[in-house]
Amino acid sequence: MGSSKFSLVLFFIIFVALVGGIFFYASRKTQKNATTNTLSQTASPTPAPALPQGTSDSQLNQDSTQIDNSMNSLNSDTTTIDQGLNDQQTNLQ
Amino acid sequence: MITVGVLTGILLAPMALAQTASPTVTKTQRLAQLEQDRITNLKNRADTEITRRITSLSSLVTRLGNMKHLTAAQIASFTNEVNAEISNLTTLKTKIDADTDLTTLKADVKSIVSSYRVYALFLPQINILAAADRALTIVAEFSALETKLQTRIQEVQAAGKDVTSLQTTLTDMQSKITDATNQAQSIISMVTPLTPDGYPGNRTTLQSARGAFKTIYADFVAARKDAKTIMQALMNKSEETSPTPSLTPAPTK
Repeated sequence: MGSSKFSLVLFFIIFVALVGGIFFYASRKTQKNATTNTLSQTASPTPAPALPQGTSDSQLNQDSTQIDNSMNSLNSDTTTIDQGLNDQQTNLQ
Repeated sequence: MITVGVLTGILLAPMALAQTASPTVTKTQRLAQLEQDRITNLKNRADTEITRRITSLSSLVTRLGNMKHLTAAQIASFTNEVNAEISNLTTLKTKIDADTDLTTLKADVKSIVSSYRVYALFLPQINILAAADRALTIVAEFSALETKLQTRIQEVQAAGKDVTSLQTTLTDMQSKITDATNQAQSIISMVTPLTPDGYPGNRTTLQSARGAFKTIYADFVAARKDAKTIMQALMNKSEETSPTPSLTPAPTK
């Protein structure tokens, strides 16, 4: 009878330890998943480093076209300067 | 009979006198008409000249308003001077239009001639400054392009490509832009202090400034050529880097 009582107590202790272990393991796993989720949520939206703005081939072509237009305007400006330098007033005699 | 003859003579005498006086009045009227024609003609020419100057000076005010690289004080100073000249010419035009006497009109017209040096200086002076201002705008445009090209060259270099030639061309482009900048700023420094009092003596300075634009334009043409060379090389290099699209589908593993 004493041996049987001892076995029952031992079984109960092992059972409690097993259940406790399972709960502990389960709670650790949940915590780990939560941390992973948090990390992935934080890391996910980080955008890739942006490329410098306006350096595409088409943008460079646009910039070049703008320069060509400005250079043409400068040519017109110099023609206007020449007209000013060669100006003759109306004959008022 | 004698009495009748005398009476007839008395009656006809005024008519004969009238016939003699008539050509004298016509000549006076003709002289007056001639003077009036001269006045009209001179007024028309004076108006044409004044209107021509006011139109040109007004366009200079517009150009001054569009300048970006002169100081606000410089722009304000020139604008005030030009507007003052426009005001003088407008007042003069009103006076000339009201003139009825040829002598007074001639004196007024003479003042158009004597004020010509103001116009003759402002016209090329402000147009030169406007062109120098535009040159500095082009310099800014080139600088922006140069920065972008530098970025692209660095990207190509990071990809392991040889960029020595590209960098040399970019350095040449930078030196052309720097020279154009110096030339434009030198023109502004040279031309800004000129005043109508120094005209026509300061005409040589204006001509010298005009000559400098040839150098500026040559710099821009060279810089533009450099930019084109770099852009073409960058496009070629990016084609080398990009994988060639396969015409046959890859075998399924």
